[in-house]
Amino acid sequence: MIRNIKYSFIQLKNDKINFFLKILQMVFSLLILGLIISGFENNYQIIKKINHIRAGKEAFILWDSSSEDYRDTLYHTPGNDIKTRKVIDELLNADTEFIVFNNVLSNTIQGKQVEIIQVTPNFFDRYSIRGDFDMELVEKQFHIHTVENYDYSQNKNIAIVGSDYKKKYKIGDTIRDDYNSSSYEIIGFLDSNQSYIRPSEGKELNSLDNAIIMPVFIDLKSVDDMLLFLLSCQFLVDDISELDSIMKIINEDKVMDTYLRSYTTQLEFMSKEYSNEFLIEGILGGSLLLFAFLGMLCTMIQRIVDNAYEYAVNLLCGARIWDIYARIMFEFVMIIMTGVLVSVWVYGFSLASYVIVLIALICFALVSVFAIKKIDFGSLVENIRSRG
Amino acid sequence: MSLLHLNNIVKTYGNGDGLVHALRGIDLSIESGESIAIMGTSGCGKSTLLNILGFVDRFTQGIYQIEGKDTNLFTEKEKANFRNKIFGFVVQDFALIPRLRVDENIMLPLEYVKLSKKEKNKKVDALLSELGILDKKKAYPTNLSGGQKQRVAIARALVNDARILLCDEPTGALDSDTTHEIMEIFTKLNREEKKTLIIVTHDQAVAKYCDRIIQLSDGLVIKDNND
Repeated sequence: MIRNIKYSFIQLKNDKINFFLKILQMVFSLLILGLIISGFENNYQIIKKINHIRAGKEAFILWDSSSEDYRDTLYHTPGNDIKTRKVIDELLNADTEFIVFNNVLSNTIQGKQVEIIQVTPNFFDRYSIRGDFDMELVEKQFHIHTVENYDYSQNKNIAIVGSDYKKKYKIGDTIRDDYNSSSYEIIGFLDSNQSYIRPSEGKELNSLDNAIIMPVFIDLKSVDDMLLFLLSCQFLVDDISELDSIMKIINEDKVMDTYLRSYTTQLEFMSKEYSNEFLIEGILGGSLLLFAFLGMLCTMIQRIVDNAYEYAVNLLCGARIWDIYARIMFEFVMIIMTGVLVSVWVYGFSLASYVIVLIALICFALVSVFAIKKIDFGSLVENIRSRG
Repeated sequence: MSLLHLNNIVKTYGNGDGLVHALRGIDLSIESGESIAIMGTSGCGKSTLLNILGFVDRFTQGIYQIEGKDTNLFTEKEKANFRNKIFGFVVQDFALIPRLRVDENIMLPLEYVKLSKKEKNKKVDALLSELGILDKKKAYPTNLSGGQKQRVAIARALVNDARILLCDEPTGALDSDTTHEIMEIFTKLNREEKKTLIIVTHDQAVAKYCDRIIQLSDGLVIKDNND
């Protein structure tokens, strides 16, 4: 065996350009394969995420239809703060599940615009947000903060931050904005490629890689703040009538000119769109997968065919047929392993990598069968004779 | 005891309607140090016979003995060992690996022998010198003439001190002058170094260099001037 490995190394060294090209072919085939699988996986995860947000419930958002002038009037009408507070109290005391997702502001951190997002704890579960954070701590810390219950002495917000921050920060560190007006103590990191959906903004997913996520904060004395809070709620109900009491206060007290807009429709539209994409990708990806697979297979079979003459010469010089098999297998292990390692490096330990390993193993098995069928004394010696 | 002894060797290919009888029952004894030409028309089975003798093809039926030992009992490893140390192959198209240099091609059989690099080089140099192509040691086969390529092939066949040279149309790709030169080398190896020479050829001029001529036709020995 050692002799065969040594021989293979010498052979590969002598034939390095050809061998390098085969490796390149294999790496590209596997990377294409990974790309297809990643696309599938990504779309599957998106559909799963969209469906998980509702989990069979109806989703609504409050849609502000008031004109700018009217809104201005409402905000500055004396006593409106009390009316708005009433809506919030009603909401907080009701059993209705709601997710708050509030893009409060963007801040500049180290010269970069960063989205500061306020969320309720259920946001992480409903939007299937994964990361390195303690959910129990999130449940405890991400409750809705108000001016009354907020401890200003620390002048520090707790935050779960996007994966981009992993390079520079660790849990416990504090991120400060460029104007030193806000600081965020990191209690966790999100995994990369986490995303959210903006209600009423099409089917696009928005990345959280650069975001800072903190608990919801409401100033219960500010009409602006309270209305922004209400407009940031995504209500999850079995029936729209669950929201009647809230709507009644809003409408009767003329808190704002608003109506309930279905978020379900947007989510269903998104789910359908992504399912269609999934189908198209499935057909295209399936074809590409087949070509990538055949490409890999051809690469390896071509190597056997290219080297058949050399194998035959080796047999004449004293190699056993098993020496030839061992050399072929060793070469393929080298080619496949390089391809697999590059793919795992690119795609990490993901579904794409597992499928790549599986496909590579199937290829290896098929090529081994091909090699054993194709390489026998008769055919190899015939190969020498046919060149004569 | 004969060096090589074949008793009723049959070789068939395919099956059913496509069954082809390449050898129909060859009886043959070859003594050590003989020089033999196996002749016959194309497709008569002469190359098949040579391949069976050199363990590069299997026979379907019969007994093949080497120095009285039944080769049916040989393992693949033993057969490979014979191809490496006892038999030296020389074929029409030279069977040189184009991407290897002359010395690397000659060293191929030495891959299966425990020898230091220095000893291997010494052997290669001695053979190249003997065959008059030492200056081509670092050349690639594509830069050699037909005669030079065949000398390299002969050197490779001899590098492990093979006792039996199995040559399949060794001059088939050469002009008459080069054929003469190569046959002179074979004759010298046979006469001076007592190598057993078995040459498959359809060329009468080549056969004349051999002491014994075996004629094959349709898978059978029809004439053997030893009988």
